[in-house]
Amino acid sequence: MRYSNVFPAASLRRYLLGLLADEETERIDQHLLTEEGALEAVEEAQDDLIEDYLDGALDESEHAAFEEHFLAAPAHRQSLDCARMVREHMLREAARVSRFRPRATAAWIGPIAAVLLIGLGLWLWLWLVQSSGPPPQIAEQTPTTTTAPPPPVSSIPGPTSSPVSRPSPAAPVRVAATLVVSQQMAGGEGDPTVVRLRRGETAVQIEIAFLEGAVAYRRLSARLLRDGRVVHEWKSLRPQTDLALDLPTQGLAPGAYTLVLSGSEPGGDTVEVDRWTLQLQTP
Amino acid sequence: MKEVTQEAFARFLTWLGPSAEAAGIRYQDMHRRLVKIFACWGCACPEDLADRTLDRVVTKADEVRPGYEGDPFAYVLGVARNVRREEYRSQARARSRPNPGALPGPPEEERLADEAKLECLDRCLAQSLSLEERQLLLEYYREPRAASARRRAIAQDEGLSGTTLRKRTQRYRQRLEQCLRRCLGWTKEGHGTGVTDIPG
Repeated sequence: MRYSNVFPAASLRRYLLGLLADEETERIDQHLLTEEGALEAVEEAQDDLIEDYLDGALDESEHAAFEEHFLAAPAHRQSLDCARMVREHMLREAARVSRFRPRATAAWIGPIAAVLLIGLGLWLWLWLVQSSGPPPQIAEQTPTTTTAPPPPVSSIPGPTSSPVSRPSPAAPVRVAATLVVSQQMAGGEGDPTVVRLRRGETAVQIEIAFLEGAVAYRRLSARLLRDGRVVHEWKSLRPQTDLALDLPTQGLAPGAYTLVLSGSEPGGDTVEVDRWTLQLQTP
Repeated sequence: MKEVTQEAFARFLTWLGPSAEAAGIRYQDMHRRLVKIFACWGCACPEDLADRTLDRVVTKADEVRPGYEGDPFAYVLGVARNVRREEYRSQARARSRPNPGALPGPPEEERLADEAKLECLDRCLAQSLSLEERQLLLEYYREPRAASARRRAIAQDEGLSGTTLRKRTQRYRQRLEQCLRRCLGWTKEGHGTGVTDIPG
């Protein structure tokens, strides 16, 4: 039998904090003295409680009860001491590793590099075919390609594909810019990020990559501003390492825009996480 | 209180189990559980109070047992509650007396204690956890401000549910705590006996 079926973790936590009603406390006392698994369940709840205390996640009454009641027992103080030691060591170690870790190890670098390499290979192949044989059919058969924009590198057709690259309605939205949220550098620093829109594109994607340790929020939201006026808004985004914002491009004029990323903290406050200047260029 | 004699203790053990060995194990288990209960009640000396409870139960067992049905646990718990009440009363009396104030330990002693802790931690990290386990803990604690969101992301990366990740890191911490307690000479009951040499 799972002990959590007898007493929920919340009751065990209140028991440890001395906040449980007498009757319920007596029931847990009795289980603790006699039942298999009860001691382990209480110790599990204790570990969670200590972690929450160190995370600063206890509410005011729990925090007070933790310090006055729970920490009255020397063994509990030692457990807290152990947990704190481990945590501090890990944080020191993490800071040391971060200092020496090159930024290029971020998760999004790999796929981008792979796409670029494949694109380069295909371009080389096309160039070799063009320079060694007769002119490729693509130019003869599709005069429209002279006016159409070049396809994205990743969608250049291979030898067996159709020579004409037409936008497919089901095709994924192109990533037009990748922005980085980093604790070391505010996004607003440096040059604006150029976002080139292509003809026929109805939407592009702006990717926001959080470097390690930057996702600190319950929910995220973003706003695209032009001269202080909101032109597009993304609400209630789930925090994750790579955030994808689909931006409808219809009606967007070329020029400078500001993208503001905000986050709601566990305490309920909403803060600005980062902001970037985007320079939109239309075909 | 009456003195606990060998005979009284042996008679009490027969109440706990059919064989001396089984009863002995049960007695130790009961003591361990009582220590935890006293700690959860917010008592400062759980081990002493558990000892006091069981001593009292042993000395009273001959009187209580004849008319008693079932396991002695309910009786033990009743005695533990009385012991706690007495302890509260004596603490209240102690609080009403003038308190000379706790004297801080000498700085040199504190520094040595901190060094011993760090040394034990290094040893325990190397002995109790594999490299992968240490790395998982490192990721888990990397960003305290980002705790919940970051941990969700780690669970996702590791292909684990949030609960599994929490349980796994909990096991690692418990292993580390056991090792640290051994190394620092801390008992589970909260007593300290100084740093113990664990094989390096």
